[in-house]
Amino acid sequence: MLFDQKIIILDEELPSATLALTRLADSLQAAGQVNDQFKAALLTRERQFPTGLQTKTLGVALPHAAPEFVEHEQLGLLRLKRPVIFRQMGDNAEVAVQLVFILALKEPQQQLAMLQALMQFFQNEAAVQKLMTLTDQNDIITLLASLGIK
Amino acid sequence: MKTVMVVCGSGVATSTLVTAKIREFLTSQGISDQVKLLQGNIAEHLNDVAAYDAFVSTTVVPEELKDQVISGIPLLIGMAEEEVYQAILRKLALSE
Repeated sequence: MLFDQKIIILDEELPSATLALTRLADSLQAAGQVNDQFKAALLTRERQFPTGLQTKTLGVALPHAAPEFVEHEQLGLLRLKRPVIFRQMGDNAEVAVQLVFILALKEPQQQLAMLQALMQFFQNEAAVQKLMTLTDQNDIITLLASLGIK
Repeated sequence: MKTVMVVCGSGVATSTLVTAKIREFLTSQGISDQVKLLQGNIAEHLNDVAAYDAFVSTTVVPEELKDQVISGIPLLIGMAEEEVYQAILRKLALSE
């Protein structure tokens, strides 16, 4: 299961996109899910190919790095107390991001399935609303699993 | 045969999602047999944008190419999709 390390960080205040990414990458590394090069690769890739997206419901980011830095496949979620500015995929525009899903995946096919499930989730207003209010990690895992994000 | 190139950063993930959407649309219009859909990463195709009838990207392209490239982001997030489809049809000169 992609949330079995419970990398679900809720309502922290982080002042920048870089610090938000660092927080998630450090958590993945501390849990032994990615190697020590993952963080640098993630930050570089985000600069080169930004992953912010202004979706119908809210601003999100979907950072990921190349599979060679991933030891065990895992997802991580960061819900920010205050939105931070990411750059948007496709046009580099500024996006105020409140939810960050980090993808530490190995198989392209799986990455694809996960992206698709996440995109559907972001269009589901009720589900996003619910995710923004849940405070228990297990409830969040259950909600996401019910939407194929697991 | 008309050609559409769809690119993203890696050539693997978001471009696949967008390609699937475009294929669905072309099929719904009954013109999928007139269009060849191709997929790749942006770095490989920066120099051959003009080689395709339509060029769709989910990642940032250099300023000088912006006019020739259609953003695939609306298809990714499911907003204003119709505008992207119409832009592709115009490039393919298959509209109306």
